[in-house]
Amino acid sequence: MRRKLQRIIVGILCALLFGQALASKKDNTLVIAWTRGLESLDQYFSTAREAIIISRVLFDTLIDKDPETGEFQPLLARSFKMLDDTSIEFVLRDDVYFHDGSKMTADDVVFTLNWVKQPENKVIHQQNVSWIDSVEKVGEYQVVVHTKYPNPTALDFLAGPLPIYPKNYYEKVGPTGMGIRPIGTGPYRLVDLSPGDTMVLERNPQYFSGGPKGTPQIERIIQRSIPEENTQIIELLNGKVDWIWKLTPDQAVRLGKRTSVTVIDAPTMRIGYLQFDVAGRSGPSPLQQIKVRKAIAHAINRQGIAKRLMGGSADAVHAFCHPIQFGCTDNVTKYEYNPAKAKELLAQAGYPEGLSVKLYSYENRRVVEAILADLAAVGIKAEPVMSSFELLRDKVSAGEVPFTYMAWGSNSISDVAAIVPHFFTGGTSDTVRDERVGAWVREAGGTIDKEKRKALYEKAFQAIADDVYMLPMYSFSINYAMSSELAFEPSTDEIPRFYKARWK
Amino acid sequence: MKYRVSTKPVGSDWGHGMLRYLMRKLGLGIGVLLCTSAIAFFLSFLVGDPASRLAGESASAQEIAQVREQYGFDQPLPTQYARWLANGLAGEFGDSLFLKIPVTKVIAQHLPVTLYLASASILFSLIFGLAMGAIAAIREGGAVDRLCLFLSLVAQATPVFWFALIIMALFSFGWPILPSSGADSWKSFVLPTLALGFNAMPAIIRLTRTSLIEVLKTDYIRTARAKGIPYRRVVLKHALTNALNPVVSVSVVQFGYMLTGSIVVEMIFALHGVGQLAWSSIERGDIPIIQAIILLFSLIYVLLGILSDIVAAWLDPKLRTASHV
Amino acid sequence: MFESKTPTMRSTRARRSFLPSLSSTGKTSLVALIFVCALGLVATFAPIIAPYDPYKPDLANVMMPPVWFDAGTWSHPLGTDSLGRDYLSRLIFGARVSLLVGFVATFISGMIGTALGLLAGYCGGRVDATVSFLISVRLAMPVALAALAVVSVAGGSLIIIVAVLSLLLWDRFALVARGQARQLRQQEFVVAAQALGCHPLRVMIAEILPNMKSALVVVATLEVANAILLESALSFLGMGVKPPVPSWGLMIAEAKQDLLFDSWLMFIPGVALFLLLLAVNVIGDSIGELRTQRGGGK
Repeated sequence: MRRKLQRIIVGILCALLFGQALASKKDNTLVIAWTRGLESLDQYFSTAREAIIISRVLFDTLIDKDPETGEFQPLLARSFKMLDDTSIEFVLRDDVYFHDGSKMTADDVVFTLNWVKQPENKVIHQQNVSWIDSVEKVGEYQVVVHTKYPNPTALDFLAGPLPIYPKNYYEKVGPTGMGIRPIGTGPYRLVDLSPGDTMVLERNPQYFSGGPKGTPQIERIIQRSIPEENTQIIELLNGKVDWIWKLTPDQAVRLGKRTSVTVIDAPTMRIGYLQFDVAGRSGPSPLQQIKVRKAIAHAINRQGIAKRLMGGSADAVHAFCHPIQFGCTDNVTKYEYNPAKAKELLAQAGYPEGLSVKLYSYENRRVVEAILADLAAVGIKAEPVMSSFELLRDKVSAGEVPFTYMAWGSNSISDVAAIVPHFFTGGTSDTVRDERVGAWVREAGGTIDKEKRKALYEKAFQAIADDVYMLPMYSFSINYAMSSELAFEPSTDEIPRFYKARWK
Repeated sequence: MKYRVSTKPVGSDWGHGMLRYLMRKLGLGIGVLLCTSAIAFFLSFLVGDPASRLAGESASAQEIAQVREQYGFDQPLPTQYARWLANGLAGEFGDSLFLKIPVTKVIAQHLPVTLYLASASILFSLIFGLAMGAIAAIREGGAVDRLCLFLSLVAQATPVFWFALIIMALFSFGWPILPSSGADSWKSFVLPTLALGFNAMPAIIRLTRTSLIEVLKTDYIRTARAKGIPYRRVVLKHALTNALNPVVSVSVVQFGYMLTGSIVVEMIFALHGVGQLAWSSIERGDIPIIQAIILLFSLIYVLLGILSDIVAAWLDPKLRTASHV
Repeated sequence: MFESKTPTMRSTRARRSFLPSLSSTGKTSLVALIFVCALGLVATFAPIIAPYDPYKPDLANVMMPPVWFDAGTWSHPLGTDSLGRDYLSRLIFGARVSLLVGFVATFISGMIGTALGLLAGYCGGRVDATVSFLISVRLAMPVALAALAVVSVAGGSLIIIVAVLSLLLWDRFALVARGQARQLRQQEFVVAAQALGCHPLRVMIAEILPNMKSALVVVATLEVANAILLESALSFLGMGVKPPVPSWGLMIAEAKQDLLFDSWLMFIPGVALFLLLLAVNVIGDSIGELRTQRGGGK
């Protein structure tokens, strides 16, 4: 108790005496701000987009995928080759060190991947790891990854959400320890963390050169969580923050007029969607009737919302995938904006007076309100229930949510295997449980034959659209605002690569 | 409210009456705390099911049930409450569901900022409130009096969150002279203190004014003035000390209210204090933290209440033996 | 525990002028009263008065500025919000929510608090101890947190908000009622009624209660202001009335995004809220003054 009291007093004194301002260009420091704190810095146990981003900065994966060209490049692995349909061999670099000084060897790769693939370790997104059969060490710097079945997206996953952890450290501290004191191989290392609030990262002087991530130019990165958007903008204009994102279109336009700020709009792989509890896990609901869902599809002015409220390159989407992803198709039933037809369908379904539902969501209030208004216009009274992303995610998994508006970024993997299986192969996020669709999706995920995969996915998307299992709404584009003296290129996969930023 | 001439207790007067008073208040305080903690405990379970959160996203119903049993969530609520209380007395509140580190650690990290903000705000409202209330009382009925009353009306009618945003827009954006976020220097606390303190001022202004006016009318004061003691000394030494009694009580309570008021202010100014923690914990369904924070706030309120009672009784011994509860 | 803090929030005026209808304070309170009544009328007849449907978005006319800007037009005198909804109409309908929640919640909490305080003050002894304890518990409870927690679970329907506020705002009623009841029970007419053998309940309701009215009204006006404020704060945090219902607090929350560049969106509902609260407080003060002038401290 006494020590805690001491800490509190020290804390107050520090707050009183703190004189440091966060300078930026002069100190070669980059100050970024976003709205929420992270639950954990262990990417296997956090699903927030921000965790994915920081993970790329603190850790490395075996290979890296260039978001523009789609090519795989060596990262922790010098080279890789497919031995057969279900085995990939990686030759690792021998000049990589973890932030704690230990050298990265095949042991670390073997340990990490074998550990995360085990279901009892409860990595959050099982679909990222469930395809791994085993990883075998064949040399000091050589491993072979065995997959359970021919997995066309194995390389995508290995290049994305599968960072390599140090064996000794992770065995000792586990996800809890890694979550607050991460040790990786990445271009930056963590020097200070206020859990859920602020983070200070410093350049890793031992980062190997010649990799696709380049050599980091900026000495320090400070991440602050500022929940109030206006505060973010003010801080940016005052020079206390150098980089923010996810501005509204209005804010982007206004900020763009200022010379001290650069505003860039970039597309993403994220799509917004309405999800229905078709299988009825949350109890009986009118949404289990297909006519009601079709009515909803006709009731919402998706194009209008995309263009007017989201701006940039946002556009309506009809199949449950992002057009940029491999396997995505446009050849599905399209539900045009037609409120009259929506009302008709509702009447046919037995709800001529309309009905009431609850719509769960976690952000993007403006869009949610537009959806509510469109639904209300055809007689569907939707009550919004807003909560945090993590809470909603858990509720959906537990099957408690009949109707939700969410968004999915596919872990920035440009293959529909990063979206459809998560929602349609019987996992906790599958609110439909259609065996037919599940079978097609599973089959498409188990073969490397591109044509075959495309055909199977097309069948799945058509079934999803025909029965309105999901109502995909639109693709997102994101506004970035940063100091005009910062050289930073946003990518199209919603993962800002801070290690490539530098001051002009 | 009547005011005694002699305000300081003497000798034996102190010991017996004061101690009994204290004991009574303490006993009450503990009782209140037990009640509020019980309510907090049950309330927070409404916010979410801790078992499914702990079990993780891909957990099956069976696994969730296992976790429930393991942590004792399947036991009847009163039993859980008793266990929680027992653990809490030992300083053990479990781990945050969201951040996976001990609740006490999380709160300890966030507490300094809030305490600093609340103290600064109450000081601000005290300084300005007392000054304005005193001036208004001395110049009762005049233009200054009306101005002070008007100001306190305005402050009472202004919603904290709106005011906070407006002053931030004005002084960080319009004329960027003050920081709008963070806790780097004392300057970052100026706007938040203004926002919180502004709201607490009216009560202090009015109370000071009212009680000072009444005190100034008493015979005691008139006698002092007749004796030729300069007005200023009369006011400062004799009148104010008598008038202070209710003000101190109110401001001690207001300090407690600052804690709740800090929720919005901390959110707007990105101060990572307990208020913001409370809000994000409710949003995220982080039950252990919610329970601990409600308990913490209640504890502070109760302690402050006892403190204010002690101060009141010290200033006016009549209260100690009265047939109050 | 709360004894020493019975708040005397009324301002005592000098004994010089006591004709309220002629004094400037009297004039102000008259204006305030007219304002509140007018607002009440507007709220009641909102569907007739409001020029547009406050719920209907119009994506073609998003964020039009009010008429005093260059780009403003009289078709939308207060402009439109981020979904193209007419702001004036939303403001008018928003008055409904604020007034409704404010008055209903205060009424209910007034009933609860007065009943409890009356019992405590009149009966004394154990009843008094229990009620006083309850009040202490209620005071020790962080109001905002409790409200947030409950609403985040139970949802934000108007009924829940009113219920939650009612359960949280009764303490001052109870305090004042208790104090009044204690004083009044020693009065002659009460003693007389008791001597006549009247049932205690009857004594309470018929003799004591009517004499507390003026004190309670003062408390009521202040609590109305409190309730309105609390409701708007809850809505601001997203835990109050749910969109698209146009509570003024919610409108402020929605307008937050545009604070820096289209600040009128935030100013308008904020000013409306401010004026309403100001008016209510002024009325409350005036009633308090009238009380002190009539009967000094009863």
